[in-house]
Amino acid sequence: VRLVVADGFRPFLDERGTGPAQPLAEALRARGHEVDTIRIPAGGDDAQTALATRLTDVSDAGAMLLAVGPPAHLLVHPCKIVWCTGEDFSHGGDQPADHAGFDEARAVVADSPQAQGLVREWWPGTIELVAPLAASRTGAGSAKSVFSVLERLTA
Amino acid sequence: VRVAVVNTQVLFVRGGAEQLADGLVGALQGAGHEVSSIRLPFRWHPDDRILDHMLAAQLTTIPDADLVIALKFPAYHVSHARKVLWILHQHRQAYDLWGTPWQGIADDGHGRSVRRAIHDTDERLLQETTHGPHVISENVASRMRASHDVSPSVLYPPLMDVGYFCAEAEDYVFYPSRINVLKRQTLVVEAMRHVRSGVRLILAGTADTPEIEAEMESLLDDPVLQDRVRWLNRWVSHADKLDLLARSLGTVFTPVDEDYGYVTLESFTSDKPVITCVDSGGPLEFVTPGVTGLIADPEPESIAAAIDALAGDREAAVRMGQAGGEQLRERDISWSHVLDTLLST
Repeated sequence: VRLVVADGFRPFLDERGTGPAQPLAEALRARGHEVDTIRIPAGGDDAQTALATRLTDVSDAGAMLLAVGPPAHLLVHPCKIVWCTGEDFSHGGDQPADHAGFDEARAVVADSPQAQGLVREWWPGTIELVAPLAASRTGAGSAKSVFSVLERLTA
Repeated sequence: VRVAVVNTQVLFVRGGAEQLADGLVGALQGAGHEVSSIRLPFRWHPDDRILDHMLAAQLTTIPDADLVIALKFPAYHVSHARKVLWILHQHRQAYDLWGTPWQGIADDGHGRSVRRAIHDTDERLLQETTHGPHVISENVASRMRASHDVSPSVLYPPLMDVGYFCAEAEDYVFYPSRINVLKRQTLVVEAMRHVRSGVRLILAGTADTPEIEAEMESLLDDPVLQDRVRWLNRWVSHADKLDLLARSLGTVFTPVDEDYGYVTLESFTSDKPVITCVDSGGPLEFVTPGVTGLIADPEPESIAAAIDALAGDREAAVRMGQAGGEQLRERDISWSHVLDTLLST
């Protein structure tokens, strides 16, 4: 299946990005998927970046979009999983578009109770708890893996 | 210097534009600059999305960059105080492809207003720019001059790879490229019906769409063509491509109005002549008939005659290939020249 993994990054200052996009893309390729990645340049005015991302429609790219770091949750795709990790949303949903970005997602997952709690403070929808990526890859631990959520949505 | 290289991203597609951006990033890094590669996704259907993506690019800022080098529509609308344009092409559907089967944008009131918005936004950008615009070929420059009051300067992109060589010519001509309607490989396959010299055609590249793949497969069902055409319908490694180039009689490269065309440079770097067409665009800036290659009409018989002409005078084919190689060396198509030009503006 063709999948798109997206996150944000701050050019020059944080080229590694806001989420685990690269390791996730590699893990998905290892599972036989064809994967491309989007990296949204952030670091300028937040509202302007949010609007630019909201205008970016990638609906016809791949069967699913995995938004693994802000502001990728604002991208438009009919089958989007928003993955909240660490302190991604420690400032809450402070852009008006954040709600829309979450509301339209097919699934919202968090890889820790803390990440889940931060989003629960401002967004009322269902946030599934999944294992962190390393544990998902090895199948360790009791939490379900992000791959099982993906397989459920692509089935 | 912190340099951001900004390009357009079409997801799951890799072609010449991506190669060029990667080459530029590598050359800048090699020269000691700190580089960030930025790709802005682009979708052009329905027509309104073009406007959305244009606005998204305008809203994108890269505050930590000292310099932005912007390559392609709509990403070249990114905002920065110090932006150099090195344009691969504009949105051709709104310019030279308008009124052709490849127009893409609807020819109705709304489509025309989208087209006008693209023209106006490009025009503003080009009038405001103080650095450049540089473009990748005279062909792209000439299209730009037809729609805007600008004087773009041509800065030819070098090849990204090394290791090209020349070996004794065997009995085949080579066409390495993604298979699609605009590259017209099916026209060259049709031409092979008319070839009398016994020379074969080797195509290397996968099809861009299932439709063109099916068309090619159906053509190659013909037993006559099966004997004369070999299609390597897979990703061909760089080493294999160099080897196929080196042992060929010459290259056939017959796109419709190509922006630039790395295939011409690859062929000449391997000291092999190029057969192209009168309407192929970029390759015509390098191919001089009888000197570095042959120029055919976009008709099977004409292309077949050019292939037979190469086969009929192999000494001339060798001479033309070497002249092509010599021409490239004289033109100084190098990354050092590209960086000197882009960074001095």
